[in-house]
Amino acid sequence: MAVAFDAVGPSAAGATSSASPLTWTHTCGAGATALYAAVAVGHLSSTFADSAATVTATYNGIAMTALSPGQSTSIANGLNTATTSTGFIKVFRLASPPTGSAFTVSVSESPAPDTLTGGSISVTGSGGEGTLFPASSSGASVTSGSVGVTGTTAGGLVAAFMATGSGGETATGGATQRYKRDANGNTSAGNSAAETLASPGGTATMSWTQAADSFAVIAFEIQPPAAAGTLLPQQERIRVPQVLRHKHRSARYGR
Amino acid sequence: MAGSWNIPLTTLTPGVHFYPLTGGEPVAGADTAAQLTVDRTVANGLNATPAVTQADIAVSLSPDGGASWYQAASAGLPGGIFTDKHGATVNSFSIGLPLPAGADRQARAQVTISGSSVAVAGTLTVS
Repeated sequence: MAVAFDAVGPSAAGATSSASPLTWTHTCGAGATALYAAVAVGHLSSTFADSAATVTATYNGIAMTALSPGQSTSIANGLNTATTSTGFIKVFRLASPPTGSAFTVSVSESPAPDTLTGGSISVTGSGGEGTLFPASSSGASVTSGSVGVTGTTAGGLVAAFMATGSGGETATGGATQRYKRDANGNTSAGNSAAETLASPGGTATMSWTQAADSFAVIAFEIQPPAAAGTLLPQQERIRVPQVLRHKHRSARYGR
Repeated sequence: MAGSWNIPLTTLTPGVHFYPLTGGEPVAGADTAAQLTVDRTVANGLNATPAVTQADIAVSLSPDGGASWYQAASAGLPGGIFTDKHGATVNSFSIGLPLPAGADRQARAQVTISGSSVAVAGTLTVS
């Protein structure tokens, strides 16, 4: 049985809040086997470091699991520092979610953010996830991005969740956009979107276009039960760096 | 062991260009991240080029010593002047990603130019 998209929550318009918690409703179909909820946390660099943030999620009061628990590690090394980062995206999963009613996804984040955006997708026929494939950019001039998800097998479903600084996310390369919520350009992660693509076998390229800015993305294959493996120990948060503009502003303009 | 390889300042014609020109750079077993940085400010570079010209910058990885390659992450960079949220001109771009584990890994940069020729210089770093 192939993994298939089931439903999006709250809708293709996603959800946003300027304060924690961010909540929305999601109705899992009768055959749903997993629910994935993502949140982009945009904040000002002066308020706190990404690594200091605590993010939790529940669905109908049931705790969801971060896809890769732990602190941010190597993803933004050299791109960012803890004191200049301005946001990240984080993904949670709940296997065998309650179905049939519009239950609430609630994402709590602290310290207080500038903006939270997010959404959720549920799937049928899943058994777990493959390796996480994150990437992030800095230098606010990117108008498209992609990340490669290797080792996919027919019957899986590849999902990508991205945060951007200026919004305008549009899925490309045959992927289907599931939601997009563009809240604001205050930070480097005030907007987010999600897309899925039936696993092509081999490497799946998850791609999109966006308004010129930075991005952070995390992609992975949702696998059928027989293929599901164990996540590699990669990070839970993918920072959206603002970084080089700080570095170079300091170097070139002395500020 | 961490390493850093330059993309020398070169005017690139439309098409696909690899750094190194053939093969890839070895990635040591302890290395866990890659970062590709491009300088937008070089003469006749992206900041001096109309937006119809674009450089697509990618990090490609090989898990098997260069026998096969896949594009791990990429970003499209149009020509023109961009400003950050503080109003400062964006002079550099970087893309970063963690490296999947493996014993025989290689990395290379891929730059695809569309539109007109543009000067590009940068650095690929693994650490």
